[in-house]
Amino acid sequence: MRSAVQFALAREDVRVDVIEVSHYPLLARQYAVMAVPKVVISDVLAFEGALPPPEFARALVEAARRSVQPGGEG
Amino acid sequence: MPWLREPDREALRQRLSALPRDVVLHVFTRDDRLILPGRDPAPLVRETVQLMEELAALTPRLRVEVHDLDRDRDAAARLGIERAPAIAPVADDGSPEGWDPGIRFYGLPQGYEFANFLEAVEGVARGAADLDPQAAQLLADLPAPVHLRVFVTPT
Repeated sequence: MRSAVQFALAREDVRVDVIEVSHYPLLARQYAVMAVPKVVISDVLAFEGALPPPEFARALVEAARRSVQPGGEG
Repeated sequence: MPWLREPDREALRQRLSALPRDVVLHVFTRDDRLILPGRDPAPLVRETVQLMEELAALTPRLRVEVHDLDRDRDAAARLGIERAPAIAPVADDGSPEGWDPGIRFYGLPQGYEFANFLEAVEGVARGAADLDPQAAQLLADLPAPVHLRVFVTPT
């Protein structure tokens, strides 16, 4: 997905794996991929389909917040 | 049989000749005859290497380094690779390690993902993102590093 790659290019603290589902069926099952694109952020937040860049960025901020606060909503 | 068709080659040659910096495509392979339970087999590793070599043949700006995931553990650890096939584009910025923005493609980038892959390589060569300004502003406050996994299909 385009935004994800651009986020990684923009920020040293963002890394991205683009995973071809048909080549990695076990990994896709592990992450419960039912539809593509599916985005999983730091194992704490996930969404399916494309989001506009600002909403995608908000999801990253939320996931980062949850990942440092394990007692939070995540 | 080549992956890239002749008309596409010419368009790609022109596009890739505009890369402002050299990019190394680190391609990780694995013996695809080895099937282990609980682990995805390594399909299309040869095809992935072939496609990357065909791209690199179009421009002196691109170079392919092939690593065997099970034998070249140092490279795999340095680039954080745990599966094959995988591609890690790293720009030559004059430093020994190069500039690695942490973008990994797992699997053969085909169809729509090939366009995404090319755009990523161009971004790595450029060393800068083409980012929506509002998104950039939001990410300026990122409270912790994040790891995105984006699951895709070729079409």
